[in-house]
Amino acid sequence: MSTVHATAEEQARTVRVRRLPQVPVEVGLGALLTVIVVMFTALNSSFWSASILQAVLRAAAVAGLVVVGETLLLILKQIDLSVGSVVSLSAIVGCQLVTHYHLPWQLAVLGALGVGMAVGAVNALLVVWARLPALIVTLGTLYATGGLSLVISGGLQISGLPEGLVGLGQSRLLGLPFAVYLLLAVVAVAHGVMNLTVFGKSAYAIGGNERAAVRAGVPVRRYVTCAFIASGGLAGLAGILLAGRVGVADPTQGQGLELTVITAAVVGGISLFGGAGTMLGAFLGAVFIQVVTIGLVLVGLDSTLQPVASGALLIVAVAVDTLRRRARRA
Amino acid sequence: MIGISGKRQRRVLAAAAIAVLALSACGAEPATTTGGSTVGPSASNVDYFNLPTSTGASCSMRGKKMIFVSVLRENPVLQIMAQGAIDGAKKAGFASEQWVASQGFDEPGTVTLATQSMAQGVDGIVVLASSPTFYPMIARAKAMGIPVIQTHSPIAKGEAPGLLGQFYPDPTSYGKAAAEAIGARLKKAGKTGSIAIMQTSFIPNENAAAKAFTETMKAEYPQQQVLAPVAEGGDSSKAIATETSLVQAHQDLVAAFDTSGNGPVNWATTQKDTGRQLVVISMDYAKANLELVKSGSIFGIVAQPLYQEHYLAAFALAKAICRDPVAYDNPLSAPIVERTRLAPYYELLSKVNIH
Repeated sequence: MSTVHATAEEQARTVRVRRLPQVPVEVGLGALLTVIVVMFTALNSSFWSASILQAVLRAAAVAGLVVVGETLLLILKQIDLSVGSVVSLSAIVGCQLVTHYHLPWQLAVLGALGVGMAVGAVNALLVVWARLPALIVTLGTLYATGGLSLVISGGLQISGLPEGLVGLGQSRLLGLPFAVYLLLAVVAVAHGVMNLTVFGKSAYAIGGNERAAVRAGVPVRRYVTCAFIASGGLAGLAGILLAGRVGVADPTQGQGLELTVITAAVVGGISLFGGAGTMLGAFLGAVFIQVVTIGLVLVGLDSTLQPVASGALLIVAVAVDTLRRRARRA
Repeated sequence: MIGISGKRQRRVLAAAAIAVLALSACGAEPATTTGGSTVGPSASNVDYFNLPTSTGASCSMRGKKMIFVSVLRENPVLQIMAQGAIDGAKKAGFASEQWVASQGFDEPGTVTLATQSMAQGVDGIVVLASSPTFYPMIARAKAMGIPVIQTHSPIAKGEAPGLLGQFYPDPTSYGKAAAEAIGARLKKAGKTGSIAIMQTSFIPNENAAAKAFTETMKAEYPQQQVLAPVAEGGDSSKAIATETSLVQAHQDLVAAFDTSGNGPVNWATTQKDTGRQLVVISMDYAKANLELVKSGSIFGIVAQPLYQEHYLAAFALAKAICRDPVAYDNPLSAPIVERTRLAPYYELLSKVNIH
């Protein structure tokens, strides 16, 4: 009897799951974003203003660049926990190049980019070529690059940045900083790459079923290596932009950013199990996180409760992802 | 993941292991640091705001070893604190001194490192006991006959068994001073409105400062409205976004008191982003913060006696090792430093080699 009951229950559950609406994540997230914006505006009319929109985009700009790299890796069923420390290391190295070695600020940008890509290459070497788990490797490089930031900076902030570098972080066009336009360009390019190129389609194939991708002749190692390097490079770029924005490079900058970007990606519909999600969704996830953060402050929610709200958001996002996967399987 | 021949695989794994070890050596593990590497060499003639040159201890520190224990090895403020402890120990005549610190806010990891050092043999400990996590370590030291002096965040007597004394900036006093400075400035400018309070997190020290600020403002400048404190966390982007929200939500915002060391940088950026000029007082005389006061982006900083409290703690430790009496509570003043009074702090940072 109990077996019959179990089977009936399972069938009922499957039917319930099948009945879940199968709308694209971006559409669902866009709708949810609209509802939340309306709700926050109803609670505090100043939420609906150009300055809040700018604040959301400015806050999303730095994290958003890192989200793009992380999303690429998550689609490939990999993960990079080192991005937070890469942000600080690249900022420290880039700013040392201009303040200590008096090199032009453009070289600082290239230096930061290079540092990020180098850490990404180390991650790739260990994950792809030595076949160590990405979670452990990137956790190791998270600590190691954090330590390097400390060694290079002597634990101190680097201030007195040149105007060019500060301008890169602070200059504006139509009220929005350069970093926002850069983020939009990077998201657009990444979205295009993932949807229109062989690399993008192969990335989904690798994340969905790596063995099948290998058998189909997809150069898996090369693609995953490129993804780690791209993730590191974007974190490096984010680091130097953040330093320019606040006018200081600090070895503590970027601490904890890895969790924020993973949350943003998952909220944006990127599956932790690989092979699913879009760059546009991840970008919306990054914006969504900032809208919630800023909105909760604006409506006057006790700031001790805000981490609770963020945690709940992540759990809901993962639950929705799991339900969607079950529905797909059913 | 992908098929590699056995021999090649072993080679790659060996290379990977070496790379991981090399990276780990760069900072994966919490590390101990001595005076030479991340804090500068001892300043020979210390008189940073009338500090004593002699401990008055009844015995010599020859052959004695002290350690300074803290979290946040990478934090610029901790660099200043550690330099104070190292310089104080050198002046007190200790044979060796070591900064035992972990990276990040890893309190259990720090306690483990300190416990290892204790097992290897130390004669005294100065500890920045940021939470009760450190209390068992203090009790263990007491049981081993190692005196412990605590810094920065005051602990009620008896709460941490074995603790002999503590040196700290009085948060109630500087919270009050910040309220008086902001209140006077707003009165002079004829401005009335809301005042924001930001904290890194809701720890007792910051809570006490925020409470004193609110109460003083309410008593002395009742026309100003102080908002409930908001936590900003450690991520600058997020902190700036939060501050921007506050500015937007309160169009009458005229000032802010921020109990975080990153407050000056964050508020300077927020003011640039929003185009609003506020009267901001925040924490600590790190060089970047002094620059912001100098440029007028920030009205003032709370000059916590970061260096001095640790220097004096090392002196008190010397006395404790000699079994000389040490006062338990030693609150120190933390003045509000405005644009015209920055020179001594630049000089201090320059002399202790922290730029």
